[in-house]
Amino acid sequence: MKQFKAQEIVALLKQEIQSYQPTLVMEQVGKVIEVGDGIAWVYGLQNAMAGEMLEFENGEIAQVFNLEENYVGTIILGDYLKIKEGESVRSTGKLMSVPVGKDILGRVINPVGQPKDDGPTIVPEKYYPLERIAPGIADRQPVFESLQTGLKSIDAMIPIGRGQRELIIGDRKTGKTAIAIDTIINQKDQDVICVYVAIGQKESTVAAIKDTLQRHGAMGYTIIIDASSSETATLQYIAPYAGCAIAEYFMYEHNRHTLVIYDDLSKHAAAYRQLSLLLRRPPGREAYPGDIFYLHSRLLERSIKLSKERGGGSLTALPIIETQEGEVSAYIPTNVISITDGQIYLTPELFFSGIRPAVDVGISVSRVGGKAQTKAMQAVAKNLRLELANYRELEAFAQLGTELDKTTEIQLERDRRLVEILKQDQYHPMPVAEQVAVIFVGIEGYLDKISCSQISQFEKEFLEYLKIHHTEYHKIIASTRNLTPEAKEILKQAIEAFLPGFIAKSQDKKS
Amino acid sequence: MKTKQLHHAYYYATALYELAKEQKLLDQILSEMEELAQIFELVPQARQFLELTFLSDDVKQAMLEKVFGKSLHPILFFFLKILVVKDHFSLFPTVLHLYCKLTDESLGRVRASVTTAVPLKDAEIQEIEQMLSAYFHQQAVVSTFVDQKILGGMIVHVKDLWLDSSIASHLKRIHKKVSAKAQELAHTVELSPDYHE
Repeated sequence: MKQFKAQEIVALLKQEIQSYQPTLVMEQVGKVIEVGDGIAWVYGLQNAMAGEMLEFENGEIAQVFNLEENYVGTIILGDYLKIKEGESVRSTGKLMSVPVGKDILGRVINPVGQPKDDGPTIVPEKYYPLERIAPGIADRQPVFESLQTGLKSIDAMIPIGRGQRELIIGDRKTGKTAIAIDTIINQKDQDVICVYVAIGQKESTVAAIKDTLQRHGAMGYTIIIDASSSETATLQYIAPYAGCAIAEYFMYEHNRHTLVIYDDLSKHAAAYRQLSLLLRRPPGREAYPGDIFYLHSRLLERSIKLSKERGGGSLTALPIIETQEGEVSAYIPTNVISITDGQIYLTPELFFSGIRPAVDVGISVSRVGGKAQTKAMQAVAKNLRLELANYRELEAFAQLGTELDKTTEIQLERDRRLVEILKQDQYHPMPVAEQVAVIFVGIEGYLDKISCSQISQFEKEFLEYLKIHHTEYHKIIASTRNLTPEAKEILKQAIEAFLPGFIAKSQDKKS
Repeated sequence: MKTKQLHHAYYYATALYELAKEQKLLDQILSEMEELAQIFELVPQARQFLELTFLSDDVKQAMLEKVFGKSLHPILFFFLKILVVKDHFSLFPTVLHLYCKLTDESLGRVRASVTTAVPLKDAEIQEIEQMLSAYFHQQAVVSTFVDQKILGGMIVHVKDLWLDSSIASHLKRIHKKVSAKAQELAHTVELSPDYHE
């Protein structure tokens, strides 16, 4: 930090006063005619623009939402109780913007960029507009790099690419946020800036998320934007746009890869519905306004893999949608499903039967991520989805008490183990090399001799063994991103050496 | 004023404006309405009486007839009667404002309010009128106000525009500029140990 003496500071301030140029200020001013419930109607402001930022006498900010013949409808960002009828409102001529800069990394802020943690004041480098037209075709390139979530079931069967929009959808308490948090934790040393946007969540939940990310050393590359349930609907409405704008800053200005999690867009839609109804916009299906699709499509369309000429950065979006009783055909879920490039569907049945993450691989898809999947993973996981689909059919058949032939029984047992290896503890994302190794031993049938209950113990010990005794395997995967014949051979040697010892040990324990 | 009232007032004002325009009485009706507004300001009880909703229309109309029957132009007089019958007399100030706006637009006039710290001389008002007329390409009608709080300079309010060259606002802007610089320094600067000396 630079050291200044008192006289120098005084001189600097004097200089500021001397450099002041008195100019005639011409402003557009209107009057509040009605205020309440976070909205205000303002008379005048004939030249106001949609989305323009307005300033009240007491410094509170509002955004122009409705343009009527004699007045404008605005949504207030701050405390609307401080605003009185008859008060004057100044138009600023600017669109709503959020302060951005490197200082913002590791911070918890509200959607207008004010800190919500106990850190110092944020000095913005720039202001980025909340709303921005999504870049066109010329600025884009197809998604080809993978964004590893660190979760076996997702990286193997529903791979996500950098620049993709992958929806996480499911009922309450099915582990949607857990997937998002694990993905953030897994971005450590992966050159990805993460933005977590909490919309309409409990403050305690956001505090717990911050604490978790801090414990796992993930806050250094993460920004949390908190528009909790106690905040106004206006702040909840602008929160995802603010998150997107901050990620865009890192993508456009620093050519970085970014990941934005919108948790969740169902609450965002509800906040927008509240504002629209208060501003007397006509309600449509489920009382949502007519432009509810555009609300989410214009946000998610800003996810992008930039062309080389534009710096090659990316913005990956993981929107979250909460369904009611598994109803995916409700209005908002169908909208967001149709906008995104695939969805990860979580079910309470799987969650409560102990399969966590509770991903239903049968109906979860990734439309563009396949091209971004590492070759190593492609090599082992190509048949995994089919195997599991087959398993579900066979299992249903077996439940009827039908006697199965020997081959089918063997297949069923193997598939049970495959389901078992896809289970993963929370906050334990796994590197690609380890995921490939575990799926490889499962697919190749090495786990047939181990009981299902021992799979997790086996996985832990085998990966430890591989790390200590076969370091070259990790090196090959890291350098080639492919499961070369050499790597495959190492894996075979490792499992053949490790397995007998493990079986013997577990039998000893039993006896 | 609520948005609903504004809607209603707009319909009344437009109807009155169109009728007055047809009969080429725009300015006469406007000046009579302004006089009425002044009377209601001086005798608020009269306005309150006409706004009472539980009184019968006959009583209120009789009062209107007695007080304004001979002094107002029939168009305005019947208009007031309609406001009374429809229980919308409280809209009168808004109707006046909107009627004035419509009339000014139609006659190519622009109204400006000029606030200064000391009263302006006639020549100064004329000069301001000329300047504003030239700027807006419309005939400016200036009304002046005195407010010592602005310290000096003047504030001109035309339509939605607010032209502020008052000393008070200049001082406010200097304060903002210096505070911003001080805040910026507070982030980048570490005070040397002799700061408090």
